[in-house]
Amino acid sequence: MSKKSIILHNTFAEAFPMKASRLIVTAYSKKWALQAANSFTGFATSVIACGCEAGIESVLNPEETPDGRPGVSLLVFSMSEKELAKQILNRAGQCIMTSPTSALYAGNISEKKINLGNSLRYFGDGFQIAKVFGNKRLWRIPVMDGEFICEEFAYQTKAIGGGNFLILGKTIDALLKASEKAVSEINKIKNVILPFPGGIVRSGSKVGSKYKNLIASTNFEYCPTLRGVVDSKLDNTSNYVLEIVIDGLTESDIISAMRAGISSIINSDYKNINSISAGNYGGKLGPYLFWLKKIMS
Amino acid sequence: MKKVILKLKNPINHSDLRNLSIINTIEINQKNISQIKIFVNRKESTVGKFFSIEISKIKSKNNEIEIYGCNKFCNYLGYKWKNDKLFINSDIGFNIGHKMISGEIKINGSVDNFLGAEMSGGEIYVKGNAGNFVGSSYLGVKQGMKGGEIIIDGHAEDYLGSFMRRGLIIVKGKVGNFCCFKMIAGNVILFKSYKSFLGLSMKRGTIFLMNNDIKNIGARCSKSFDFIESIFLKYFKKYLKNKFSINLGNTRYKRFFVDRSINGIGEILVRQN
Repeated sequence: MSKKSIILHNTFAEAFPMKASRLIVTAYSKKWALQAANSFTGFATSVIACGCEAGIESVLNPEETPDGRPGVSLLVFSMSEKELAKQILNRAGQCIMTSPTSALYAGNISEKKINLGNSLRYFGDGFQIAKVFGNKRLWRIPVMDGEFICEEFAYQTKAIGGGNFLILGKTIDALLKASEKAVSEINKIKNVILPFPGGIVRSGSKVGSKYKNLIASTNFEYCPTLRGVVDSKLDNTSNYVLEIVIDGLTESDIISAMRAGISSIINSDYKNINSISAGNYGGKLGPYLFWLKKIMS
Repeated sequence: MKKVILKLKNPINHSDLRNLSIINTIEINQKNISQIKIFVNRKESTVGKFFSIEISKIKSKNNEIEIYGCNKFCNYLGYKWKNDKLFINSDIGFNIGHKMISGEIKINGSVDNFLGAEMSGGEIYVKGNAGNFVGSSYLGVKQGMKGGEIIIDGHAEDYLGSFMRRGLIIVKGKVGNFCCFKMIAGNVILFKSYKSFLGLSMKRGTIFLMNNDIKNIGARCSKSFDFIESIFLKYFKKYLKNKFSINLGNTRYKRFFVDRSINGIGEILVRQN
């Protein structure tokens, strides 16, 4: 199947269950809200070594935030409840609380709670103040620019990580342009994040390695420099491959994001883009299979 | 859900209506409601003897109970009230919403002492005035209101919010003596004047004085400082605007810590004109 000469491979992306939480960061200005958010989501590209995958879901207008200031919605994903709680608390304490004028609120509600202000309040050394409004409890922690306002708990929900598609092309210039366009389209969709730098990953991985301590290693089938040495999935003209990895709250969110990203590429006039494929590991990685052709039909 | 209209057939002198809160848990029909036991003139009786009962279906998440014809001798309405909405279309006696858990009570009239005493959740709106001990504890009990919200359009008398532990009280009129006495936490907004001994022995909590008169603060205060661009205030203002359509405006506040004589770190925020 192809549209405008870009081939859509008959394959599927393989994703796995994760735990996620949404947080809302607000600040004096959009610039400082983004500053805090970027700090929080730094070094959160992959659970392989970062502990969590995190990204900015959307930028919020003052009307959409709890305190009427500019804000940012973040999504944080991890493999276990314990790790998610640990990562959120550490990052909130070191990246949000330290950021000027910031405040931190939960962005979703569920029965499973993650300590936020409930633990960070001790930084107030006895001068912290709790305030309950409706069903929410906030902690006011005195800091040098006034008060850090932090909701008592964040909430954990079920999620899916590892939705993906690969873009195969002749030139890196064309590939980057196409990938960036796909990222900008996916960024418009709620409930998903692209955790990698700029939403794009060049070091796609496979499960396992010849080295027994490594849980993931390079996806050699898609490494153009290994053509001729390994059983490559690349043809002679596919000199570059980039991957877009998507974490989302539900299957339908990931499907929407993949559809938006792939559509933006195959419906555009990009030259030197050969095909679109997806990363899967023969069912070894997870129970969610996203067939490209089914998504695009 | 269902709407129940209860109309008092004849005026009564003294009544304890706390058992009416059973409506929150029973299946609503004429028989069940008319058999609820109440105390009238210190004698046990039933709702059916004193109230006419009308039941209709409504499109609402919760049941609505409307009561007409009560007077200041009807006490304990809304005791441990939960989930449903209670509308009282008259003046009413004491202990209304006592130990209330959730839901809503609207009083289209004035109310006597101990409104919302020891309540832990829900909302109480009073169109008229309220008596002493609003949101406070019962005599001898260490903690008053533990949650929920009370909004009084009129005036309130003495000991409002004493021993208050959590929650929000808004008084749009004047307030009497010893307001927030031994307050433990929570929020109180006073729009007009108050009498003596405000915040006496207050440990924590927040009092908003929208009238910038501070001469009757009875507690020992710290030096005051400007409290501007506070994120907490922004959150609180948005909350009040969205939920109660109350606009606190964009003015500056001065902040005092009280009661310093007991090392309290309660705060009084005084609006600056």
